[in-house]
Amino acid sequence: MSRDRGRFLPLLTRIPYALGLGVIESFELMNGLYAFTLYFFVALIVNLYDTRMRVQAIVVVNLALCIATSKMFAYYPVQIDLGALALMTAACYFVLTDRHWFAGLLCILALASREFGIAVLLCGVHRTFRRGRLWPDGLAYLPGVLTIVVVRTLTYSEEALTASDAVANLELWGSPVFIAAFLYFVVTVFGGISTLLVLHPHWCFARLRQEPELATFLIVVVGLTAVGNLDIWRYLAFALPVVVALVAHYYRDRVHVAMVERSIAAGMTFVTVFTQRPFAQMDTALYFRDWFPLYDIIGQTPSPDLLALWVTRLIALALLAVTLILIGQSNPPMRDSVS
Amino acid sequence: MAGRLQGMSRWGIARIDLVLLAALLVVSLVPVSFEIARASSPGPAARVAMSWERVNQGALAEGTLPLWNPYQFGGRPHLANPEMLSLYPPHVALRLLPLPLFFSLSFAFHAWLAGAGTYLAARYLGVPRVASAVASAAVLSTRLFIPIEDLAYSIDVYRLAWLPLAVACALRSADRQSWLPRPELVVVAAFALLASALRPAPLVAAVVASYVFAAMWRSPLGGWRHLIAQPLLLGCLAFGLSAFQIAPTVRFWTVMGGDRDLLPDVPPRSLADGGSTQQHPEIAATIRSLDAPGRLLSACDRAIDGADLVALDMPGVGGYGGFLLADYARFSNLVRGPQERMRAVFDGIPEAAQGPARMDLLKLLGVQYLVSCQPPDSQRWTRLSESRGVGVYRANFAAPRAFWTCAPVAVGREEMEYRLRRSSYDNHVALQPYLIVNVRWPAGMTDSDRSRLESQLHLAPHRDIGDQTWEYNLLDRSRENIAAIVQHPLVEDTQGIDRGTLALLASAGAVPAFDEPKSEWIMGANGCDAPPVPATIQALDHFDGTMTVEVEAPRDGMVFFSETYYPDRRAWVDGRRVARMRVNLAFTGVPVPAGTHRVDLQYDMRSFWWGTAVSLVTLVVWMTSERRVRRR
Repeated sequence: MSRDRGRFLPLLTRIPYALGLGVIESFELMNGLYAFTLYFFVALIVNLYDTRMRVQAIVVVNLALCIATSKMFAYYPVQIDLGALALMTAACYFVLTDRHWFAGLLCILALASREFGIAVLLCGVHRTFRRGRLWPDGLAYLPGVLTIVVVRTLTYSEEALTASDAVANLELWGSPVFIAAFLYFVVTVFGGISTLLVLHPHWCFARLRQEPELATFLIVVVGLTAVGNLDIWRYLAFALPVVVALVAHYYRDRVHVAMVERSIAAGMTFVTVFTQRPFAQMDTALYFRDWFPLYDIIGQTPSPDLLALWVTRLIALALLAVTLILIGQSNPPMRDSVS
Repeated sequence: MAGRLQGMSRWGIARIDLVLLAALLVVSLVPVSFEIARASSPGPAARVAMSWERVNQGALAEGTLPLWNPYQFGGRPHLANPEMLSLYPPHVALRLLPLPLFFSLSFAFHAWLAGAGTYLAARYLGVPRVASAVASAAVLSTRLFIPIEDLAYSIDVYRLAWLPLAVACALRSADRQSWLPRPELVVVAAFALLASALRPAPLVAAVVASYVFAAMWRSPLGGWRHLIAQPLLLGCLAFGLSAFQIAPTVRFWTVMGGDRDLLPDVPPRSLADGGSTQQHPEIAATIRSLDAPGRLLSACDRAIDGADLVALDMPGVGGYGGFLLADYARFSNLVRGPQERMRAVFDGIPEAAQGPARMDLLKLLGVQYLVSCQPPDSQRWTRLSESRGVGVYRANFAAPRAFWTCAPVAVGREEMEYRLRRSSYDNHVALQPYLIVNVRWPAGMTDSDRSRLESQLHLAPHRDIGDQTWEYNLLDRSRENIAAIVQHPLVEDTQGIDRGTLALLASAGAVPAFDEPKSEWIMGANGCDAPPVPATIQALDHFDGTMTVEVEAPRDGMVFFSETYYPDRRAWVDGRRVARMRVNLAFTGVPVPAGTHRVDLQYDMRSFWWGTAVSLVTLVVWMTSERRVRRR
């Protein structure tokens, strides 16, 4: 590949490329930096709710074992998603700490990277509105809105999601397989972390009512995923900042007995290892079988082995969920700010 | 405490826990009968694993170690490749069983192991019994996660099965206030290391994570030094105890140092719908009845593939994977025809049936039989049997597994590849540089007719250059053969031959000078004025790597073996050890003086014995240390 093709690379990736690294190595280096940034801000968000170092460590370790936040980019490094996710997480941290001008700046970068950046922008606007600080803090997000306009009008976007595409994609919801896959990936997108939260829906709703800007963030991401294509978990991954905030909140509110804390941490990590299979060596066949099975099922004649595999996975996931519930039941909540 | 078993009480395990683990074992054994049926008609992945285990079982039947797989790739080291699981204790224990039962039971055992390990780890963490049982049931159900034809026999199954138990043992060991890890953790780590084909990354991650986890929740009164010392010592002990496998493997990796760029030993997934002798029982029966010691080449993977070679007790060319046999693959790519690529991947020689395959090089592979999905050139191959479009053919040329020829010449690597690519062997196994002529055939001529004429006129096809014209290497450069070409009624035109005087206008290309160290041996580079003398085979295709031949050498020269070169397969001539040579990239050559000689190839087992000694020493040191720790 000739060096002048570097102009097709993402802006930041051009730096290591210009310094002499190859295309793949440049992406890998930047993914390393993005991963560090992502986990750093994840730890900071956890710290906002629960200051125990080991809680931060468990959350970061779990995310580092997940496909959506780690393994995908190890196997398929030439993507911008990890960088966009890191920017969104950093922006969300600044939103949650009410440093809106930092957040607004990061929103610009996030929106220039991926369209999901709009979630954090709306989250920030909502928070300033809720706190009665739409003026002047809300102005910090105006450049982000302009970025959307600029990106959408002045740049060429390959296969950008249009309104008609979104409506057409809604037809997928007529397929029970798609619904099952959507539910599966909602539960497992962040391994044990997301499983733990899904098992406590009432508690999660209550927390989201307390900080409704997080609900805004979540609704935008889930909504875009719902009208997106078959890459379900790739889009759900952008809900990470909200999930991190919720799980940290969960630990603070509900886990105080050391042994239970240990059991939940172990159980959560176990579910992560189990559902994300971080040790499995990837190849193209596994990529589609394990990560994007809908491409081999919807509109195709799926092999019985593939269907059997996924039915069994759903059963195993149900058993794991029961395990987590049973572990959680041995933990009397010491404080529940809902009630 | 009443109800608790004395030995297990330190795990916090009661009788009910043992009952649950036993129940788990029963559950894991339930699918065995179903899986025996599936394993009896295996698909590609299963057949590859079965072929490896067949070698292990064959060696056991011969009363030897499975050092050498004589069936694939012209022979390949077996035990030294850790993926063959030759010395993996659970498999050694099951080795006398029939293969379908062997794999089904092994799989059940590993599924149970994963479930039991999960249960113990959960219990140790204080998880309620019911929750632990449900978690272990979830893990056990992962057995169904793996379609038997896809990953059932993969190394991942064995490698991952030990991890929960390793975590359980590591968590428990972390509570031991001693620098020495608990014995059960050492044993589990050693087994897991062997099960993982010496790829310890997941095991290391699991153990280290367990110790870190224990450190995060341990009492502040507890020391922390043992949490560092124990994993380090565990690594030393596990590697020491596994040295009987590690030493041959390290030797394997080091002696084949520059030869690592071939596919790993995994079956190609693209074969998911193909390949099984069971679909062609008549072909399998024919192959089993073959008695000459030649190798079989399959140009029809959907009928016979590399995994079948072992099942059929048939030495063949190729196989699956071939890690560290890159030079063999490069040679096979040369055989495929005059192409410029030299890929270090064995992807068959389909051109052997119909196409520009180099017959001179095919002979060096010892190919005597061909399985083809289409009728091959009848000048070269005679049909033995046919079933539903698939045929078994015997070569019309002799391709002895070993023969005497003139001494090889030392050349550099580049020169070796240049000469092999731009020269061909004549009947005296002397290299003749290519002499290229073009021949135009009449329109509408069939491939089989053209192939027949090429054989008849001693033309080795290079490529189709269009307008019914082909480029050929002229093998027989005698005036009679040139006249036969020019005057043949079906030859419309030629280029490179003066049709009036029958003189050759083209000339063989001169070999350029190569400035490189002469690290390789090539046969026939300086010509050879004596024809090859086939050796009499006394013993071959043994799992301990033994091959014995007798040869009458007309003068000083070399015995060429169509056997893959491996440095630890040493040579003896009349009982005296001699240096063997790597000839023509990938083959074994043994220098012999004039006269009648007995030549032996034998596998050198020293690395295995050294490793075993290290394992025993480690065992003694560890047990002594453990006893001291317990006394304290």
